[in-house]
Amino acid sequence: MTTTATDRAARGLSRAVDPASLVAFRVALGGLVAVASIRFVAKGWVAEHFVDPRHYFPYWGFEWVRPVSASGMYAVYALMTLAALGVAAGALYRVSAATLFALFTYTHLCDKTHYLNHYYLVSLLTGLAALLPLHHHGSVDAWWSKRRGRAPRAWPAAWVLWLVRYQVGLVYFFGGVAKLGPDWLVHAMPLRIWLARGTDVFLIGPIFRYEATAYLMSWGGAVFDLSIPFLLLYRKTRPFAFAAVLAFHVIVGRLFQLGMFPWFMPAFATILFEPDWPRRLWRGWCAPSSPPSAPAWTSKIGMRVAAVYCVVQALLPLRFLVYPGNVLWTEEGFRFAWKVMLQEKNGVVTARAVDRSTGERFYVAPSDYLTPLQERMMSTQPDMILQFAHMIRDDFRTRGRDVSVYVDARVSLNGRPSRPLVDSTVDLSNEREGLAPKRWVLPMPKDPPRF
Amino acid sequence: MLQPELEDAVVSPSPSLEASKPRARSRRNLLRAAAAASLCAVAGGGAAHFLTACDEGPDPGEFDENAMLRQIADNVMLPVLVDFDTSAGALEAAVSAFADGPTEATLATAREAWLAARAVWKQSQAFAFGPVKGDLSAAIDWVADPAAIDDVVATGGPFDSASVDKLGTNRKGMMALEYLLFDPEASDADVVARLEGNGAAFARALGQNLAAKATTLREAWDPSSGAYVDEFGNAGTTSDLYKSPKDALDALVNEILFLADTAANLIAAPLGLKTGGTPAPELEESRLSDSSLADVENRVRGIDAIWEGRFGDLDGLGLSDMAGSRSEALVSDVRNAIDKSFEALEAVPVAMTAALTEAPAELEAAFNAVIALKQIIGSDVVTVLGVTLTFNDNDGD
Repeated sequence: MTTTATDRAARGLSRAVDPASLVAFRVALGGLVAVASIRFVAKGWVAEHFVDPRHYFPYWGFEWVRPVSASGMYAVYALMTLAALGVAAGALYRVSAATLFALFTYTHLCDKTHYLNHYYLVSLLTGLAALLPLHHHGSVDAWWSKRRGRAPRAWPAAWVLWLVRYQVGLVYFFGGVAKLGPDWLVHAMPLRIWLARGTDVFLIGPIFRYEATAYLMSWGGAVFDLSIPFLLLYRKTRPFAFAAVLAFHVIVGRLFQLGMFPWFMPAFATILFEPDWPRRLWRGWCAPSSPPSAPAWTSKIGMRVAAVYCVVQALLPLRFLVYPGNVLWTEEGFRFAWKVMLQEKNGVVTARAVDRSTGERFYVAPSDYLTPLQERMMSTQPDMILQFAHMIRDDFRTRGRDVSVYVDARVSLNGRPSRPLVDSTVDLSNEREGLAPKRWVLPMPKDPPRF
Repeated sequence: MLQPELEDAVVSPSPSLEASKPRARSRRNLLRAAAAASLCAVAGGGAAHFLTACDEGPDPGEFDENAMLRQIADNVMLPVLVDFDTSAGALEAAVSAFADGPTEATLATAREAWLAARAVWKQSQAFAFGPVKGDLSAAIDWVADPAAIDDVVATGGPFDSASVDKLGTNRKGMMALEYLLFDPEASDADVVARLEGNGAAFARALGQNLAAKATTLREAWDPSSGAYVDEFGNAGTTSDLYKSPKDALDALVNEILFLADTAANLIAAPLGLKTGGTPAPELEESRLSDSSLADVENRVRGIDAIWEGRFGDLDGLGLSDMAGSRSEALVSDVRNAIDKSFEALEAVPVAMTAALTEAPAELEAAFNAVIALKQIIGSDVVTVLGVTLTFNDNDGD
């Protein structure tokens, strides 16, 4: 029985599908990343993120990743933009997509200060784009191949489409799962804080004055995230679901400073439409001449690799379950898990370095080492606090001092009274970063939000 | 837009689209169930609100933030700058009197006037944005370079406000005047003797220039001239600079947080907390006048004025009222932190220079109290008021 179901699924996933929606997805991905890269440079963020800081917060295991020189980073962004345009046009596709993935991921591995869920999504999608055959149709490469008299390429297997659908759908679904907690559902936090600050928003601002609005939006948001991938897949609900997607992203884009996120997600969500939706939309786009073909052996291997990828992507957002404590407080398992818009967290950190030989004490202000944005992000994230402590230790070491480092971090989460986040009696210079739970992170306070 | 006639013409039909009618019915039922579940969830959310909203104060939405910003602007910001203008004018007059007749008595009067102007200036740092940013702030208060000032005095003048304008920021403003008027190593008589002639003339020009800057600053805020007070006070309505009340509130809370941080650092640095415990009096902010501790205290006073919306006899809405519309407990906690800062600062038995060696424990306690104030502003106040910390235009989530 199981074998039969598996076989049926494999056959269904091996079936050829119209590549039109994948072409539209590829154009949207490349085009939007190109715009995002240009915007990044235009806003002066290359200097702010990669040149101005004296220290960085690399990811565990990627400590070797460092920004290159200022001119080098501008060159990276120029190349990234070209690669993104190459992906959109499907020109020199494999090289373009691999370059885009490598450069985009590199820039975001340099410093976790700037981690954003949609940047992570772009990394994943460009990685998939580099491996999947998204350029066999509707691309410069396909046009060039046709001009040289080569036969049109076969349509992609259905698993290619479903893999991209799975990745996009996962963002919404786990975004919804992450909202199934008391802060979001019982306290309507952090929306109660945020909406109270948005009462001047055109037309809809006045309703944000009411707490009921925050509750309705919290619950509605959770239902939206959990259901929208399925409602977009289903033909009859799709128009309403996509209208809801557009409305949702317009509203959150207006309320919050989310940059390209409200542009990325509706564009990516179209992959959940019928595979031929672009062809229906633009009737002039003639039907493909290539007939469906049987999957090649690479497709079967690809399907297995895709299955492993899917399992990893399903487990990664759930890894917080193996850590003790509330993930919003400890942030162990918080990144790469689609925990979007879940917390209003603010904190202040001060540190003390104590010379192990002489006992001399040194008060350390984060601003002595970090940019204001780095300081703000570090102040509430335990792994970054540990890295900051190590920065202090290493800096004193270069000055010939062997120091212990103690950190006092007071943090307020979702309107709760501020409480110590880390044990200020633990010498963090001796603690190591890794996947193990951080025992020096104090339990989340039991106090409810202040209001 | 999808075209109905093509809806069924799926190029590569998937098994799901070949479903039988019972299956389609089943899907419809599923859809209805999902829609019903969604509605229930939304309704449940509303119900949850009404069930849990029991022990709260007034609805935050009822607080008139525009009124608060307007009253802070009218009752604190402008009056502080008017007071500074008046104090700087008094300082100019006192220094001129000293220059006209350099005696220990006129020197003492000039020093008192300097301290009075200094006190209100430091309070104004709680809203050190807008017109004061940049050149004006530097012209009023910048670290002095004694050797450079001696060189200017040695030129012999003539000195007037216009010539002072042309000098670098390390040779003018409050700190240049402090260098001339105060000398802890010399007797008052020696200071008078040293200043007679060129020194007093330069001091007079410095006083005139400082008074002119204070007037410029006050006029930039005054509704009858620069009207910055209206820019801030009318945030989100007629203001061109602050498009929403949140913009103005963000600016204000970030400023008082920065001020608390600065105040703490101005104790930490001379106390040697940043250098292993060795006192560093040269890092005091106002060492010559021995008013470094007063500088810290006046910064906290500035934070207090903004928090309470109160300056002198004027009293209106402040940040505490907005916070109180969300959490009375926070109002009490912040009040407590401010009071403890004052208590700790007043518990230092001597001025800072002496305290560095005679009362370091008391100074460190004052440092800790100011840090605690910074912590509650930077975490609780920011969170409850929904303030965006650290201005930048980076994206979120």
